[in-house]
Amino acid sequence: MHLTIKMEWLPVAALVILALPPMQKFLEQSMVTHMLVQIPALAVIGWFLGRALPENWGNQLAPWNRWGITGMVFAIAIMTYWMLPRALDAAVAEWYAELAKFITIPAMGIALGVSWPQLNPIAQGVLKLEFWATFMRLGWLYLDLPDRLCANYLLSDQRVLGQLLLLAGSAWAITWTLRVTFGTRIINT
Amino acid sequence: MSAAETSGKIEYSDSVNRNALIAVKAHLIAGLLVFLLMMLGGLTMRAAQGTWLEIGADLFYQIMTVHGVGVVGAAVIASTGVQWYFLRQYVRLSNGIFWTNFIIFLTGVVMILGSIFVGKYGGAWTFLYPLPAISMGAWSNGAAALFQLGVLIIGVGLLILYLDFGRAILARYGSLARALGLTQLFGKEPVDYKHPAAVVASTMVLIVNFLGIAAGAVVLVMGLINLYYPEFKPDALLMKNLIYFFGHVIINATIYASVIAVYELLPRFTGRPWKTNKPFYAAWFAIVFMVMGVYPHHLMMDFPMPSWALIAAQILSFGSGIPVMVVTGYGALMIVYRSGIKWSTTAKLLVLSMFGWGAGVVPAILDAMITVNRTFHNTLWVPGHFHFYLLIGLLPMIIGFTYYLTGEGDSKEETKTVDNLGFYAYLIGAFMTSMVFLASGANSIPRRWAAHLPEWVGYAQVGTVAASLVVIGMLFFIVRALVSLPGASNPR
Amino acid sequence: MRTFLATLFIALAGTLILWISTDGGRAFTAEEARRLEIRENPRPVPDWQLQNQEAEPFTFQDWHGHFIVVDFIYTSCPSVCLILSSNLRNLQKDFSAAGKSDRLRFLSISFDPEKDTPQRLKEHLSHFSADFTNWMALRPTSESQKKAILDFFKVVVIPDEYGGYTHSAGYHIISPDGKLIAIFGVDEMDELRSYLNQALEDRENASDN
Repeated sequence: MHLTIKMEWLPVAALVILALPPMQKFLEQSMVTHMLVQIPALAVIGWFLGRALPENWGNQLAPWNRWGITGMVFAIAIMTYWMLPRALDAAVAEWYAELAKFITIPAMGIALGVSWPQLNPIAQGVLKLEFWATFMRLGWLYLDLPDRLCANYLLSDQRVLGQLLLLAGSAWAITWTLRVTFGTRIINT
Repeated sequence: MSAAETSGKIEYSDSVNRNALIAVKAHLIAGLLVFLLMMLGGLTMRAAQGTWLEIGADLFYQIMTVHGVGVVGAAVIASTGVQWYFLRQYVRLSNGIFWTNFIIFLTGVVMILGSIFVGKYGGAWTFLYPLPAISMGAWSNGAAALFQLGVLIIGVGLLILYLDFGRAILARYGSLARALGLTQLFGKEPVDYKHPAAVVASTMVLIVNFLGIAAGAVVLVMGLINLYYPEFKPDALLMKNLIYFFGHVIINATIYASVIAVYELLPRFTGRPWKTNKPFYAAWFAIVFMVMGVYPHHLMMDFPMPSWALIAAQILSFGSGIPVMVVTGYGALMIVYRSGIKWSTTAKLLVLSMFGWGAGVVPAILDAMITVNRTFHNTLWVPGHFHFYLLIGLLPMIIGFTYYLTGEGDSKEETKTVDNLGFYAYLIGAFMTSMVFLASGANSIPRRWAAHLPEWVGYAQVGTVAASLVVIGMLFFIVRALVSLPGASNPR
Repeated sequence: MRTFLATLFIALAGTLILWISTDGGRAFTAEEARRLEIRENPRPVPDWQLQNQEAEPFTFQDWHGHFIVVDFIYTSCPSVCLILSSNLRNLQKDFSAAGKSDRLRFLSISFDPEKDTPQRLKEHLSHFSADFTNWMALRPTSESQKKAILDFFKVVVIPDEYGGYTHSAGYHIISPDGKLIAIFGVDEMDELRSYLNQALEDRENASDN
């Protein structure tokens, strides 16, 4: 019992640590850590928070979120918003945008954690490919753009991020291919 | 898992089967009607080049664009119908997903037609960067964007369908390698002669098209970004590679999807089973890589392409005809030889498709030779090559399958005169169309020219006559399909 | 049904938020946003305390009644400031050739006041053989003044990996009545030129009437 309570507080503790000003400053001084460390970490925290929520919450939400569709649309809307370069700039410059980020991204994580497992496997597949393609598109875009997208980040930063995104996308594609080609049942029906 | 378990057929309820049959018929009829319209478009272009018809260059290029995208779309949707019909007998597929893809497809078609005939987009179906963005006033950015969005949407629909294929195949066979027969090929499992060819072919089509669509999803969006954000100038050679990877894989895979009809139907008509075996698995395994590796033959005139890619493409193109062709062509001959097969129009069409596929390799391989390609690729030789494949290889498979569904293949009656007329008009017309293109190419007549020089007009006029014959033959087929298909019950 | 309604609501709300936060699909980056904002809502320029290359005090009030083109620089800049200022020089040459030089003024404001002494500002200007009467180089007189200026123009300055700075580069147009009315990018010289020509012409016509 003692242990489970501890586990549930872990994501909250992580959230507090990320919100500490020095930590914020450290992760946000580069586009790479901002987009590939801080934001994903916030989303993962949300995912685990969603797991820890009382069960009756989930039951009350269920009729509004059949097959996880509503939650996915919610998550995708937030994701799209934070992909706007000016949203990222605003988060660095303005405290209220930063606050919005610290609320909406964990919320997105919660929505993902609740809705993704309920989602139809075919829809999961389509979204997975779409996410993968977004990695490749953004990576390519960041590498090729002559100008900076964010006023707060260097062009070299943007290039490194582009390379990392392409690398991550490629690694993802290769593992996925290997699993489907040689793996055992990964999609259960 | 025992042999019976890997090859046994799936049982569906009667109402599901009825609905599935309607869906397949809808795919075939939609596909054939689009084919007919595109043939009329082709006839118009040939007549315009032959000076028998006057149309403006802008309209010519709009027709050329719609002809390209329409034929690819019709080939995809009709061959998907053939493939799905047989695949669902071995793995449990969803009718809902099949219909979803169909409806998304029609939505994409409406968008594409709008972009071409309302928005005047005429930048060819390959939407080759940066052409869509530099129309010099012929069409708007919006029209080019709508066209690419239409293609993207069709890709998403297909993706949904292939995910269902993948899910069903994995549910039954555990891995794609096992479905392809690789475990049998490499001796981890005993060879199962009853492992369905439809599953092997579908797995191959699924793999290459999935990757093709993935490339398309990236490249189409990059093109869209460039339309609205011209400061972003992606590497043109990389764009071209991805576009042709996507385009080549998608159109090439249609023939591998449709050939399932040959595997399934010829044994039915001859009473001899199609046995899968190690050479068969090896051939289909090789073709997975070949279909994906041959696309650089579209880029042999791009001198910055690394030469290893071009050489690899030439070798793969040489090789790509061989495995499945030899295995399938030889297999088909062995099944038909002295079998006492009844030469219904269905059977004739299927055997014709084997000839078209086999003989079509010759112009294809010539085009894939780097030295030849550099002088031939921008001539009518290349349209000759793909018209040969599509008119004499792919379409006979699809039409043959349609005839089978009408019950013609199993019928005890003599072949009707109407069917004979249609068959021979089509056969002669299709052969002539391709040969005239090839001859024009050999005489250095360029492709994609709205107006032809006086010394080329003769070829175009012969081409027009040939195209008319194709249209006449196709009309016979279409009328037959529209009259007999809707009411036909599932052949048992 | 409830799922459908909730999904529809979220999708619509999400689209609306995206629409608003990109100014109707017109500005995706902070740079685009600041240019668009100024175009739609010109803002009066406050009277900051600045110092010019002769170490004399300067306020924007001093050049009231002129169109002013402002760029931001630091004199040890190896790259984009050089382009910024040499474009300004070409602009000054062209407009003085057309006899309009007294109506158009130029300011290069340094955001590195510790290093950029009046002496260095003067050197910077002479690199571009500037006409000193119509083109001044300035530095803010205090850290708080510097922050106020950068915040007003929404110019973001970040240190780069070579000990210099990367910053929002552009030409900021201030109208004769002391308002920031437009911002152009470094690659928009043609647009800037025609904008200035148009603005000067309109003003001439207005004063004729």
